[in-house]
Amino acid sequence: MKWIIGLAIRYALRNPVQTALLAVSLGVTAAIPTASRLIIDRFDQRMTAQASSVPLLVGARGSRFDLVLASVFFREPPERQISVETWNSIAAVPGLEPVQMNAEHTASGRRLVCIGHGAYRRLGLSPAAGSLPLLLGDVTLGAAVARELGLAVGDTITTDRNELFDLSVPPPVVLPIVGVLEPTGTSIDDVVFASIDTAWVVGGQTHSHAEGEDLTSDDIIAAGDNAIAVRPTLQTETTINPSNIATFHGHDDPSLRPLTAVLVFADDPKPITIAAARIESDPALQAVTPVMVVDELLGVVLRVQRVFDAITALLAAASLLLVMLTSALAARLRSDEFAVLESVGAPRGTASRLLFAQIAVVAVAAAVIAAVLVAAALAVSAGMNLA
Amino acid sequence: MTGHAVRLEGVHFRRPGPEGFEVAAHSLRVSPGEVVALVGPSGSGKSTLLQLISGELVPGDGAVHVAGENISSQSEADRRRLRLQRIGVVAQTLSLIEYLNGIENILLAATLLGRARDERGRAKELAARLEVTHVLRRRPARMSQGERQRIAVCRALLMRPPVLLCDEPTGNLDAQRGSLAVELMLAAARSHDAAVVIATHDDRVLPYADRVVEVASLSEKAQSAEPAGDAR
Repeated sequence: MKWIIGLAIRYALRNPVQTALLAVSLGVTAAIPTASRLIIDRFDQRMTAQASSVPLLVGARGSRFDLVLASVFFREPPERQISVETWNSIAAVPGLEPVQMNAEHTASGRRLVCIGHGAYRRLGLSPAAGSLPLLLGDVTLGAAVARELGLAVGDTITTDRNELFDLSVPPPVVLPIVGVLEPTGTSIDDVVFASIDTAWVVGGQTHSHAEGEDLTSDDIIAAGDNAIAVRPTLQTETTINPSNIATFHGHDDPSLRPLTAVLVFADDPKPITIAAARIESDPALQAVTPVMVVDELLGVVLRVQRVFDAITALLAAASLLLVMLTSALAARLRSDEFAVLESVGAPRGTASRLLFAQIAVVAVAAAVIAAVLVAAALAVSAGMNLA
Repeated sequence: MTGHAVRLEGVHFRRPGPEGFEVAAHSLRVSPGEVVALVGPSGSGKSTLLQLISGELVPGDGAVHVAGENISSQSEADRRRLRLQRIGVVAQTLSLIEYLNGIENILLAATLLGRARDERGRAKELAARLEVTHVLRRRPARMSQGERQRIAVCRALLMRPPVLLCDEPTGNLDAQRGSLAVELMLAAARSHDAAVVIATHDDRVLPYADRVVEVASLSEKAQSAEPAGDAR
């Protein structure tokens, strides 16, 4: 029956508009649900994998979704903060490895994630260039930040000042870039990492004073016997460098310095369970297992997906009806052709086989279009940060 | 009894339905290389007789022998196979397949038999003989009616059928083109000694026929013994 396929292909090629319209409508109908399903599966896997990297998350009591999204996926920080005191109490539990996190600041519009050193190993982060941010003020960029801002090791990045008219807010700090991370395809690519102490410099809890002899008379607002008042921008250093790094200090209680969360790691699940139970008894704190919260979030996504699937099924049925209608009309339009085949002596059922072959040719074309569209969607989504 | 390319004996056909259109042919014999014109008014059964000879229709009574086979007792599949391999049909309407070009239309039967490649040379030779080489790459929509008709003749003659059936071959052509088409068709058919049966009410065709048969006369018993109609 090679000739049937041959005739069907010739018919398709010589009626390109009809064939293309049918193939594209079927291809798109098939591609949309397939691509969305694959992208959502990838999204699901990446989110779950990233959430699984943190066994327990401790933060101020409030929305568990906000806490996980802020601390694991680096979205907007939670409204309420905790302090180093919480970290101290968790660190007192044997077998736990708590890591401080402060992600309330931004630099060049990107989230500045200040985090204890232990997190890098636990989160599996490694630099593609340079090093991890081990010293005060050092930053290591996520891969997308470096690419999009055109920054590299040796450059600097400046923290953002959101309160322009509040003189009590410390000035922006210029931070040296010491590394760029390997791309991960997650939200890690979109943030800037620094040591936890850097958060407190940026937040003004710690600072370093400028040398008095460098001041000019214009900088001095008032002078007394034992003290002078100078312009706010000169009160503190706005850069951190090898010559002043050791001079940064705070006048506050270190245990009260702000954290947005504490990431809790452990090699054994038992102390995690104990710590979670203790924290949950504190009315100001909450302890959540990120992977469970993400499962809950993805459950909502999957419910939406099911609605989407139902709509797609209706669309597919409509497309199928369209193909059947088109084929029925084509059969009527092709009655002369079938009469010719009949008079020549074509085998019985040739007309229906030709129509079936015609649908098969369109289906193959539609499958190719769908495959190309799905591959393109996956390629685009691969470059996107889905988690 | 033997040696006839077409032989109808005691054939009676009645179309189903209340109209009850009937055709009878007590005896019709056509020898190889002979050209027979079937004449009669519209509705007299000329086209139906051709369909009985081609095996598209099966008579209620009698026997139809084509190329030595009794097709009235054959299965439908066998009749289709015979039509494909041994009967050329030029239909009343200018029926070409619109999405195939000239040479693909000529090669249709060979394509169905899986022999298109083998018959390509023969298709070109026929096209040259019928003077349609210049339209082999064109689709029917870009051919004149005469060209379409001659392509249909090429298609009918491609497999060197021992029987060529033509239903009003000049129906859509003017006098000059009609005569040319018939001349070329018969010359090509004679080249392999094909028996030709032409159903026509065009008097211009009759001079080309070896014998003219009135369809109405076929139903008379008296005509059954020997060839009927006017011999020319």
